[in-house]
Amino acid sequence: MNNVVLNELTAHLAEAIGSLPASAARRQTMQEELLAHLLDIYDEELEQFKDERTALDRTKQRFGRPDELRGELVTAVPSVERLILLICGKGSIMWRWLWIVGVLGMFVGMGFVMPAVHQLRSADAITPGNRFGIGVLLPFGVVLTLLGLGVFGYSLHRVFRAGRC
Amino acid sequence: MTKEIAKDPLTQINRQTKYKDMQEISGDHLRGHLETLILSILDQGPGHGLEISRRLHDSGCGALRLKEGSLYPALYRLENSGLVEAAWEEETKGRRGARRRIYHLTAKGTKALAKGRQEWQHFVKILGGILGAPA
Repeated sequence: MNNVVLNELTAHLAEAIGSLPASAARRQTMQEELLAHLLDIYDEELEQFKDERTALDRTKQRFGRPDELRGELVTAVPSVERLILLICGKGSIMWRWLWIVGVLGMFVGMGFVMPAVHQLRSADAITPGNRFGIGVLLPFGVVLTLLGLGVFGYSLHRVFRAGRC
Repeated sequence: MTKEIAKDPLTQINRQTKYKDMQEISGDHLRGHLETLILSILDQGPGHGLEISRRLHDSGCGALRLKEGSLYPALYRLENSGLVEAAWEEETKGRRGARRRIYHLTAKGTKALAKGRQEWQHFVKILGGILGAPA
């Protein structure tokens, strides 16, 4: 077997595994095991057809398209691993941090909104005692929650977009 | 044999003449049952991916049309669930150092297979009755 064949089969696999949202160890395992399978198929086909190009093409046909395989391999990566990689993986670090800031912003904002809404619902009238809660904390909480939501949505969008590229 | 392959370039494993009249079952129909099928194949004994693929092909009389790469996501899911276990083989002769993994059924996998068989019998019984084609 020459290097061209090996390189082509490795490239075929890299299309499926290269950008897989999985740990490096998992991708390494998949790469080696699937390459062994591809090389076994290639040997079978070469023995039958005695032509490297035909054997290579038939190997790829038998194994399946890389994009389809990638889609199926994603389902074999545990969700927790995908989530951890999304947060801690390489690249798009700024957007991932913004995502966390957005979620925190929403929680803190809701921490102001909920008590203020409770006061609003239970109070018969706005009195000096609850004026600060309803008049200041409620709008502040709403603005903070909306800002957090916006930052969260935007950073999520950027993270996913970076993941696809 | 060669002529037959040329007519059917997408066949994963070269179709043997004895199977040529079998109606094919494609990946879409297999998808929901692939994991149970693999468990059943491994119930016959441990094996690596290519061997599982061959056994599936032979057990299905050549009617199963499945891309060989599709086996692995199912194998990995089974491994994640603890239904199968895998170990790297020692020998790598002829594969430029790339090793195969040998899969075997776990006790949990054996139980899952028994359950899968029961569910399949139930499924066939109910649907066969509705379709007017009991098994």
